[in-house]
This record gives sequence, structure tokens and C-alpha cells, in this order.
Amino acid sequence: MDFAIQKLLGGFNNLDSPQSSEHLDRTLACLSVRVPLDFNFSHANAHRLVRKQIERHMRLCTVATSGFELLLTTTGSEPLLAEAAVQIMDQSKNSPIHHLSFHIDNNCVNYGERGELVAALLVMQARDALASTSNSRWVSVGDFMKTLLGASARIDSALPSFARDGEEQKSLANTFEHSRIWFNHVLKVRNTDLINVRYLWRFITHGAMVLCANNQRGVDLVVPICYSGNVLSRRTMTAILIQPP
Amino acid sequence: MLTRGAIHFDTLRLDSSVVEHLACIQGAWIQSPVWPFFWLQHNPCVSKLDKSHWQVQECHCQLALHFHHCMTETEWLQFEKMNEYCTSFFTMANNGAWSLYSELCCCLSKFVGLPIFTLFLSTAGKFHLFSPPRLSDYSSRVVLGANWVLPPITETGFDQFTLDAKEGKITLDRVVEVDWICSLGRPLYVFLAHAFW
Repeated sequence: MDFAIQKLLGGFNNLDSPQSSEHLDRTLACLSVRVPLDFNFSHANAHRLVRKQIERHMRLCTVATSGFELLLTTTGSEPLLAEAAVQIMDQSKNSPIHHLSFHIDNNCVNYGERGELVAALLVMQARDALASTSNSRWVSVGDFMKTLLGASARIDSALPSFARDGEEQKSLANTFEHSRIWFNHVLKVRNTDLINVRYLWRFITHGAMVLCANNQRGVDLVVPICYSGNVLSRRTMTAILIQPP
Repeated sequence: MLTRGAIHFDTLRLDSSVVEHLACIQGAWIQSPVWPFFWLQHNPCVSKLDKSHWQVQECHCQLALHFHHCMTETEWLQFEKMNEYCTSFFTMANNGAWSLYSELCCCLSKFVGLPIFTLFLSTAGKFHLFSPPRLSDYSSRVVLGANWVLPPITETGFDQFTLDAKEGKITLDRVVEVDWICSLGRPLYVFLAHAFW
């Protein structure tokens, strides 16, 4: 893990003090491997920022023309780097949203038009809070819902809006009693066909939740759930679907 | 199947002091999970190969030779920073004389038939100069085309070392383990992870 942390932070072991110039680059690196950040290249500093992320902080360059007039970048699905980012941010005692707030002023980061990024970070924050108090990387759905929604969740008494015969009185907590979640980063998909039960188990093997393609109907975020048992297959999977208002 | 202790470094035709050092390191490696490494430095001013110019250096390295041990009980030799040697290898091989490059190839040919692979790693942009052209090779079998020289691998994708995940068999408890996580993404962490666990 130390190796992954150093690769992510350009050879360093921590985020440095918030006053340093390196701090912003390192926090951006940690955020980038966890959520798919886009950059706003209309800003003067964006090119310098992105090139530094590629050079020192494991960001991937997919297209570059001579002189870097066109520079397309992305982050891959690398759960080890995401796990390193979790550890770094845990040591800093601040949440990903807190670190992201430092980048609002420089206007280089594209936050999305409908709050998907913030929603993803809130979901991530809930998972991180649970995982930090647990010995395992996976978390139970019940605990996750309580942490995400707070006291208003009332999952012990929440009943389904639609249910199969005989399950009308089965509460949310009972329904997902044996369900578990595992993710530590967000994977942006660009093909709407991937939001399908056939592929959900594959996202769990990568430790990823899913940010849907633009214009995906009815959903923006998908949190895959292993509904029951331990085996991963399309028959044992379900998902939490989230669409920010 | 070859085990860690079965490599005989004298087959590398290296200087005796080097062989002695390697054997010592190899012995230590068996006891320690940390990878052993040693440095072989060659004086680039010497135009003709002389084994006495190979010296074990603890630092100031130009050529690092790592011995790895992977999950399949296969050994491989890994030469790093080959770009620094690329030019001298190329120049000397072009002279038609017995060169460092040809000597290295001769040493490595001793491992043919054993489960040992050799990797040459470089971060140089001019990867096409990584090895001399076929017509400059010391071996007539390579020159005449009987033996094939592998072209360099210049790009690799993600998840190259992903462990097998079959639907209906893979478990949640398995995919949260660290060695599973290390196998995903860039092929960068899996060997380090395996070496320390």
C-alpha cells in the first residue's frame, strides 16, 4: 500500500500542509482515482494542472496532439490506487468533499451539471465512514443506508412501494438483511447497455460503483449489491439506483 | 519445475566474484521475502568485452538485474534501464565484433529449455533501437531468419494480470482481498504485492 500511495502522490507519503502548492495537486490525485473528474480547459491553469496530474499522479492521457493543444485524459478503474487514496484521506482527517471544496476557486474541475459528482462523493463518504470502523472492506446494506440517510432512514419500518405477493410487510432492513456492498471508487461508463444485471457482478469484482453515461434514462448512479450469500453472479445481484434531483 | 535455489549462476559466465555475490544473495533471498537485487556495471569505455570489467556495485547503477519469482513457479530475469545500455550495445554490435550485447545473449541462451524468461525494460522513447537490427546480430540463425527476434512490447492494457473471475464461482470475500485488488489496473503492483505477502 505504501508503494501505491507514493505512486499516487508523486513519491510522497502524505498530502502535505494545506498551504503548500503541492497539497492541491495531491488532493486532486486522490479525488481523481475515486471519482471520474473532468477538467474545464477553458480555464488558463487547467492545462498545467492536468499535465502535472499525468506526469506525477497516475492520471492517464488518452489523446495528445503536438503542443498539447488537444489533451484528453481520464482515470482507469484501479481499486488499489483508490484504496491508497482512502488511506491518505483518512490520515488527513478530512472527507473527500472537504478536499474537493479547495478546488472550487480554481474553476478547473468540472463538477457536472446535475450534481452527480457531489452525489457520488456523498455515497462514497458513507461507505468510507463505515469501512473505517470495520475490519472488512465490504459493508452491509442496512448500515450503509443508515449512514447515508441518517436518522431519517427508518429502514426497520420502511415498507416497499411495490412488492411480490406475501412480501408486502417485509421491511427494508429485513429485505436486505444479508446484502453487502463493496466499492471504493466510481467508474464512469459511456455505454448505456452496461447498466444491466448481467454486468453488475463484474463491477463488484472491480470494487466500483457506476456513474452512468450522460442521458441514461432514470438513473445517474448505480451501487451494485451482492443481495444474498457470498457468490457473485447475475442471480445474486441487485443494485441501489440513485438520481440526484 | 525449477525452484528458487536451482539457478546456477556460473551458467551466466560471469566473473567469479559476481557469481559468488549472486549465490550469496540468492541464499539470502530464500530466507527473506524482500527481493534481492544487485548491480552490474560495465565500463562503457571498453570496446572489447572483458569479464573483469563487470563489477558488483551497491550503488551508482547502470544496469539492474532482478530475480523475480511469480505465482507459476517460473523465474525471470529482469533488466531495467536498458535505455542506458541501448546505445552502447547498438554501437558495439554494429562493429561486427563480439560485444556486450552478444555476450549477454550468449549467457541468456543457456537458459533455453528452462522455465526462465528474460525481460528488458526501458523508459526510452526510441524503443526501436532497443536491440541491434537483425542483420547485425552475432548469430547467423537470427540473421538468416531461422530464429525470430521478438519485437518490443510498447504498450500494455489494464488488468493484464487479473485473476480468474468466473460468474457463479467468484465470491465477495475473495474480491475484497488485497492480492485480488492488486491484480487490477496497471500491471504495476501485482508482483510487489506477491513479494511481500
